[in-house]
Amino acid sequence: MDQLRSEVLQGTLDLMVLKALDAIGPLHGYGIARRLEQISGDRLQLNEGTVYTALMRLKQSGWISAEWGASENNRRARFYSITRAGRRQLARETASWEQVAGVIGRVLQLKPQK
Amino acid sequence: MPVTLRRLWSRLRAYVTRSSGDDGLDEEIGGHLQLLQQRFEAQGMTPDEARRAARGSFGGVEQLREDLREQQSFPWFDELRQDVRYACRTIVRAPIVSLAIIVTFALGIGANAAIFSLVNSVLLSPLPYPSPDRIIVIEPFWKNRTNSDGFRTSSAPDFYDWRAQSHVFDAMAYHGGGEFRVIAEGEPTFGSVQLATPDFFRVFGATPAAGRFWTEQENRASVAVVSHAWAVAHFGEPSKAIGRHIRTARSLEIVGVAPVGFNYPGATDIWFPAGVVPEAPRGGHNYLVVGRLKPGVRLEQARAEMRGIGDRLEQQYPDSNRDKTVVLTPVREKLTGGASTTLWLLLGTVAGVLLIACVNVANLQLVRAAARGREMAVRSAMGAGPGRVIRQVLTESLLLGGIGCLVGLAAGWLTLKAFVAIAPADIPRLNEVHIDQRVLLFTLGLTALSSLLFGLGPARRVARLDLSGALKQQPGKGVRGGVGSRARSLLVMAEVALSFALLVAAGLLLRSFVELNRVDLGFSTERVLATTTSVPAAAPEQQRQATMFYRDLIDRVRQMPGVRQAAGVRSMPFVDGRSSSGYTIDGNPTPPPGARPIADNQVVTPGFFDTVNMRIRRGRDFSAGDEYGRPQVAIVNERLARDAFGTGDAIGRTIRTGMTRESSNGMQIVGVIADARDESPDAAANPAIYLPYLQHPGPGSRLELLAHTAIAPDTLAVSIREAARALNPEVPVRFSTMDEVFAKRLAYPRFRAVLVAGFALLAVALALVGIYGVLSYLVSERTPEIGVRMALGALRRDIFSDVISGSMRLVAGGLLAGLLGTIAVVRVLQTVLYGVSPRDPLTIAAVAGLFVATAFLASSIPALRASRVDPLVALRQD
Repeated sequence: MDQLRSEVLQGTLDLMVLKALDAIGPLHGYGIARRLEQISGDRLQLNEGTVYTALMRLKQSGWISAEWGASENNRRARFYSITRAGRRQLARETASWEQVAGVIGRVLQLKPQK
Repeated sequence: MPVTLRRLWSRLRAYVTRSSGDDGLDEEIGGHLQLLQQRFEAQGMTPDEARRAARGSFGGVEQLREDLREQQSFPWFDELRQDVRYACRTIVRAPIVSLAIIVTFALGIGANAAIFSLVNSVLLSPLPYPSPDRIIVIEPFWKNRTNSDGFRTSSAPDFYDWRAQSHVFDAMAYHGGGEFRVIAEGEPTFGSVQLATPDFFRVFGATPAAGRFWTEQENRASVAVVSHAWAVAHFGEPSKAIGRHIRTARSLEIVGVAPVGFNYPGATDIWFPAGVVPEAPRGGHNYLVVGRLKPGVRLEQARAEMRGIGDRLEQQYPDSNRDKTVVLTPVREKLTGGASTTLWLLLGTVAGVLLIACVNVANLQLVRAAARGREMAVRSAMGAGPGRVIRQVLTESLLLGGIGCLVGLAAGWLTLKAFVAIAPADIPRLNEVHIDQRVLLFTLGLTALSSLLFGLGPARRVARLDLSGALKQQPGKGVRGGVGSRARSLLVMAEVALSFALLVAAGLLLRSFVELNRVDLGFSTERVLATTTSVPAAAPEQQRQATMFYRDLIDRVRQMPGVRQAAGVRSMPFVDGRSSSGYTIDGNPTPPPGARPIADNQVVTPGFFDTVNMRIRRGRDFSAGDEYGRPQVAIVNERLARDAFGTGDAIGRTIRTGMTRESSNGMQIVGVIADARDESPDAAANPAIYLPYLQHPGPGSRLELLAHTAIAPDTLAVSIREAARALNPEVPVRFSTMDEVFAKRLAYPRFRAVLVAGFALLAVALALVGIYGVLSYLVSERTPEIGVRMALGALRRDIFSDVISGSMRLVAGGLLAGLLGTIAVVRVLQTVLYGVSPRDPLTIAAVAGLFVATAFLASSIPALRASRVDPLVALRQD
């Protein structure tokens, strides 16, 4: 799989951003992009700008909150952190993702019967 | 807060505060780009290369901004604004069609708003008492007789047994009364007076506005409670009424004032203790009983218990209670029973009108949609999906509907006042009628529903348009081949069917109103002036005075110039509340207990029959000699004579009723009078016994004085009032003519007939406009074809008859459908019709004829236009 298809991306991107914030703590958009890059290697080819649409979706759902702070190049940057509702959502999503992944995995491992 | 809601909320917030919505976004993106650039520089790129690479891996900044904005806003809201703006332009661009739509719609909505206001206030709004649903009317029900729909009286002993033996009521009380003379502050007036048992106010959960209600111990006391309005009218404010004295038959001290608006039953001014009636006969039904159910007791439960008590009483007192049981009815049902049929009927009628209005508007929209086929096709071709096009058309419909709704509400508000003015005065709570929240909600709902109804059809049609065909259409002309011409024909037929059904209903109601007016009543109401007076009398001496007052007054009135004859009668014809009782005939086999036949009792003075032109069939009228102390006499009507004596002679036989003194030898029948429908013109005469006033002065001592005049009856009012005042200054006097009283009796049929007829005419007018509109459009659409036909030799006559026959086919189809529908539905009218069958062929034929004639006229204008098409002009159009 060279590239993740964009339809798959939206839901998974939100999930990945949530996971990143949960794992590392408050991050700004650039930091999140780096983290995603680091996790996925070069297999995730996405415009880094897309991160901001995910951030807005998550914020509108009340799963993350934002606060202004200073970035490493000493500019003002918005730092996002996961909220309690966000953690609950992450747990739900993780569970259902694992379930789906498990089912699909088992299906794909089926060998043709003779 | 659910996530979807929260998302919506934050979007909304962002949308409203749009200016500050992307605050800091530039800064955020800028920072991000800078960090990326630094990273690429650190990997060894030149600043220029690094900047480009940073932009590359970030993606389009403008695109992102756009995405974010969209995510923060409501695209459909923007589109809606577009749609509305566009719809406004469309509406203004075709002002005549738009106006037609708005007016049509306003008529439909207005009629519905007005009638629903009536229904709402009279039938749906809760009564102004605490837990009004628990207030129950308790009354006897006769298993072997027809029970009137009105309030039925109970006997005092039955009441005491019901109260003592039942466990489901918190309180039970009886009351009874009517209009009597009341002297307050020395001024004699008519007051609506009720006697009531102490629990009466508890039944209604009323608390006094001032003072107190009387107690169980005061059941014989000379105290009274007055209504709030009466207290204010006579004493300025409620508290000032306390301690004052008023005089009815005796002097009463006001101890309490009822709460604002409390005036049960009817418009009562004064309540006073009923006294104790221990020895009253069980067969004498004089009181109305009300009770308040205990909380948690279901009506069914209470009914079962009371039925049991009724059965026990029936066995215990077979003489008086045979075939008599007890029924419970919520007071609201009882109050609105008479009005509800009429109001639901009217609501059904205006619903029909609205439906026709919708059909008409749908038709107009279809015509317009067809004319706009090209425009819509262009929009589709440019990428507007079918949903978007439908939404556009629906927005237009809703907008037109909204404007129509506003106009309609205003019109409804105005007509409501007119309806109330001509409505029967005894519709309960008529003075409370107003447009409230529920009416507004109803109207809005109706508007939305009908806008969708008349908008969706045309909208879907537009969305299904064949693009290439429509694009080839020339600007300003309709789509050839008639978009929805079949739909339009069906709509016209539906309109015809609906308005035909309404017109038939109106015709039937009008005819039965005419029939009611033509009924041979058996007496004459013409030029009869009724003088209502009241001389309260409690003691025998007072009764004697009352008797003399009436004797003298009648004598004086008789001598007045212009008076042909004058007499007195206890119960005014056409007014409820006459007394009736069982009777026996000496010499006839004694009927089994409880099976005694019942007859109305009417007390009259000599000359009454002559005054109202009732024909004496046999024997004689009463004379001045038939007075107290002389042998008792009676006159019976033909119905009773037939029932009791068959073909035998009634004269000279002896009859006994509840009004016969026990000591006497019964009453000798001295005359037989023709049957008179003096209760209601649509009810056949009951068996009736007439008794001479001088032998039955009665406890109420109230007599209606009727004068048959040679001149206009109301010109006598002044002199009669003076004569009454001269005889007794404490007697209040009021006048009405018998014709007025009769008209009041027919108030419901008149109200129904007038309103339904009005609405039906409205419906027909709408339908005709619909026919005319559709035909005009079809003609203009067919102009080229007509041109060709004429060029090929068709005559003007042919074209004319072609158009007319096309239209008449539609009308005929509609009439047929309407006829079938009418026959199926019109049975609901049965109960309100008199003297005419719901399938009266004459009415149906007349209405159909009228329809065909007017439809012919409506279609002849476009047909004429078609026949005048100039082939040269028409052919050159293409």
